[in-house]
Amino acid sequence: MAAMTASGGEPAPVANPGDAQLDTDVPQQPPPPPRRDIDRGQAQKAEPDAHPVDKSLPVPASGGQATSATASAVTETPPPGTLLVYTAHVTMAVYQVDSAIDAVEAIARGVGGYLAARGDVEIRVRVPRARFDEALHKVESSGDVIHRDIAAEDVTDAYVDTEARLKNARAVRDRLQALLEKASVKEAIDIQRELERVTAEIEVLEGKLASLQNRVAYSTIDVAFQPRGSVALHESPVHLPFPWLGELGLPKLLDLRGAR
Amino acid sequence: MKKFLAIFVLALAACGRPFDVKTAPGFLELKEADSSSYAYRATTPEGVVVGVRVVDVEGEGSHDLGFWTRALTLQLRDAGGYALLDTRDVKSRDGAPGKQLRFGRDESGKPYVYWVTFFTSDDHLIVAEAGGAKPQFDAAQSSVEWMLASLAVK
Repeated sequence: MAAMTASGGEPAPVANPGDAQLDTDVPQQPPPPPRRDIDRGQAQKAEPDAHPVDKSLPVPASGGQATSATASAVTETPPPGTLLVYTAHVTMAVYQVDSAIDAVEAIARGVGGYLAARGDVEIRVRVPRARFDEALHKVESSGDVIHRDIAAEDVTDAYVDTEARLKNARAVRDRLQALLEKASVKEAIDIQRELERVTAEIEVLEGKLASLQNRVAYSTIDVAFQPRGSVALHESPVHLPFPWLGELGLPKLLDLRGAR
Repeated sequence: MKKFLAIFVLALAACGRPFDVKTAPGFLELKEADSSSYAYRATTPEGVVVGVRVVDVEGEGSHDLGFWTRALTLQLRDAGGYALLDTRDVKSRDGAPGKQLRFGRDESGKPYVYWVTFFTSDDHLIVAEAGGAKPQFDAAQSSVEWMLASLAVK
């Protein structure tokens, strides 16, 4: 019994699954081996461009949801004007950390970014959002990535809210300035005090807006160098019945004291 | 007579190994203690070491290079903290296919290199390790590669 019609149309029903197996002369293929690709944090892997946004820092047309989620968890394309702040956290295996950190910094500068923070075993760089993918790819190619995640934080609501508050504050300032021109001395003192308060508020809001714009315009890449899990064998999640595997490594190889 | 006997014993010992490897100039072959895991080890004065161990394996799937690649990677990279820098397909001098995993690791702020090359042969897994501090290893790399290329496993 053929499971598929000769014309390649609808598959014919199989009355008994065993029949289909008996009718075929093709020897059973062994099952495919389990996946052996090396885990490079792919479970966390997500492509930021799965959520295409205008790379030129759009002015939001409407409020969005002020939520933070890993990019991989977001499947819908954000509406036009959505402001997303991308942050990547990359953990790399420990090898030539100093030069690796130098390389990450050079990659960031090479794409028009800058160094935000640097420690002995970690570095934070910020890169133009339009070149975030490129920079991240270069960073990941520079060493052994053992974990990676990307978060896309929607700051549209915060941006719209701040912008509206700034607009209102500026309007109040303009009205106060107009009133000040016609006010008596006593009124002028009160208006001046209020004007100072509103001006200070405007400065704070302008700073917040500039900060939001910068966070959207420049994505953050955090790279930390640390070994995955513990070096202690007993904490390894796998316990294969091959004790020699546990003996592998530089300490045993380079210890020549037992040899002559 | 004693010299002849010593050569005979060495030849006998070499014949007992399921592999053959040449020692590059600049390396000194060491005599391993009976309890050693290594069937062969050689070192430079600077501490770059090449070692070969023979592991008995049997059963269906024991010649699966993919299995051992994954097992060694899990052991060294995921549990041992080594950075996996490269994975290469290699062949022994006598044509057996094998794999070479090139790792790196910082220890007390100094970079170290550690290569594991392995082949399957009959009921054996031949595992060749090479390692040392990176500057010394880099200086000896061509010799290490020569020794690994000299490894015959059939």
